[in-house]
Amino acid sequence: MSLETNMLTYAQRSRIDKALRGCTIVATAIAIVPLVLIIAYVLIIGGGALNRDFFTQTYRPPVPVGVDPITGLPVEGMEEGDLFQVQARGGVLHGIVGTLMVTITALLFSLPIGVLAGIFLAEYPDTPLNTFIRFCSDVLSGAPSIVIGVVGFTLIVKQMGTYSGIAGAIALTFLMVPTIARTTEEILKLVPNAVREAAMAMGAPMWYSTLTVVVPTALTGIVTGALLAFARGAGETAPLLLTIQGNSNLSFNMFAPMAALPILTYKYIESPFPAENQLAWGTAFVLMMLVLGINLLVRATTARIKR
Amino acid sequence: MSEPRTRSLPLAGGFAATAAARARAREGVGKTKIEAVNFNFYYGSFKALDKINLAIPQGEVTALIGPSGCGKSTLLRAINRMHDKTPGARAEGLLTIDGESIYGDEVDPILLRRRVGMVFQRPNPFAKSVFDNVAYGLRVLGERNSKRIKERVEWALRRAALWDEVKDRLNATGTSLSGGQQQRLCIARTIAVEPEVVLMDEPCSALDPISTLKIEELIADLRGSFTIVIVTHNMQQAARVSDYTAFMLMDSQTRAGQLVEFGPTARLFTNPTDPRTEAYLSGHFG
Repeated sequence: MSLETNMLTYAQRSRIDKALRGCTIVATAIAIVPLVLIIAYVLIIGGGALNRDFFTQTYRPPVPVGVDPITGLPVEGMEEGDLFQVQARGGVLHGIVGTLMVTITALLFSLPIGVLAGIFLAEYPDTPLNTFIRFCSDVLSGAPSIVIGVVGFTLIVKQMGTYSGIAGAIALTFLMVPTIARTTEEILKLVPNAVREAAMAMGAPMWYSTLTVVVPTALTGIVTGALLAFARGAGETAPLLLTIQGNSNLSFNMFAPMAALPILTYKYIESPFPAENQLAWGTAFVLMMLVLGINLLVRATTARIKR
Repeated sequence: MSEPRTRSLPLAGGFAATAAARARAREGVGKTKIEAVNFNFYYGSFKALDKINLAIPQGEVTALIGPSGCGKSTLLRAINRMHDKTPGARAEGLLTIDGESIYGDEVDPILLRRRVGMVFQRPNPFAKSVFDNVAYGLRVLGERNSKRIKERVEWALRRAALWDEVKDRLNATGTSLSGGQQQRLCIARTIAVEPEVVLMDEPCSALDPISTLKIEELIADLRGSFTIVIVTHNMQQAARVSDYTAFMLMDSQTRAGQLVEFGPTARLFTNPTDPRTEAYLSGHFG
């Protein structure tokens, strides 16, 4: 048969198959290397900074080795270079509290807006408004986060006259709403139409069937989207720098400047004191564990969907 | 609020009222429940149903049969306006329930669907417990009394011949039941609110023969209490379960569905008047 003349032999095809599979494995390995390096770095350097003080204390100025912490006078035998050999002191409790308060507040703002917008996008797809909103949402989710920070600064901080936790929460809301809206939309589109029809045939008005049947069916997916948005918000630095500013003390006041873990990382890593650099790695570690924990939670919930 | 067009739903009075409603339904057996007069249906510019004239009797089982694409599902879904959400779908001519136009301007499709329930081709229970599935329609109607809901759920599940199988796991999700059980659950869900009409769109096509038999027995049992309209691909099934049969066919030129013949099932199957019916029933096409 003439067809067979052009065909590769089985051995040739196996060789091509192996070569291509090798390429994919190499590419995957290259992609994973930086990830492993980042995790290892943060684990090794940051993990070393963790102790009880780290989680229970707030900022304390570093004290040079050889200086009496009470009198501030040099201890005998001190040399000039020792000034920067400071002890690591204090912790990032204020940052942990700030990040949790600001991000949870942002989640409370963005969850109802995002979920309702997602329902609108998924359940009323044939309106011009829908196309417009989807476009805006895509643009917003692609906007550089520093731009969100500038907008938050102009709209809220300048009007309020002070940096504040609430301003940061609103800035994060701008970032989280599109994420929640689009994941909600995608997950609602996966709800079989048969379920909507069943509710419709029971005489349920659309709002009732959406609330009692469609959304509960997709609930785990919506929770997943909210958690991912939360993880994204918790790791943002730029919008927070321009809205909550940072605070060296523990503050629960949402209407005053607050600390947050990414801001602490940023400030400590710029510090001339190696001990503070160590704290930066520690905060990075805590932030990563927070995001990792949320991702594990997401995996657990999506595993429940599949079951 | 204006006087609802529905007969007062027997939710408030428990079983006594339910029995009364069933008795009322029985009195009218044989009267025309749903009537189509020169009824056309379009999807955009495509004419899917062409001049359907049909009178579906109350309290009996009417089967719609015909080859694929003949418009039998379109006609069935037109009865409770399931096409309302389909862009471009529109009705023309007259389709009535108890003499009222289904496509009249003042008709509220939601009230209509509370009178005309539907069972679908694929079992589609909600991702809720067995109990909540059956209670759904009652809650849609605003019933909040948990004792009455309980009574009605049990009644509907017994009626759907499912009670004995699920009474110990009313809290299991509806989707965890077997396919046949899911379909009977959907039937229980539909009849729990005692609609006047139950539409069934090939309710057995996704089921195995034993489950199919159970559904057919169930249809025979529901006969009299409800007006049942069933679409089926299976001619034997139509012969087994229905009192009346409508045979539909797609026009070869316009591709629009037409009603070829309508009559008592026994007569239509043994002595069809139209040669096309005879050809279809004897397996010559379709």
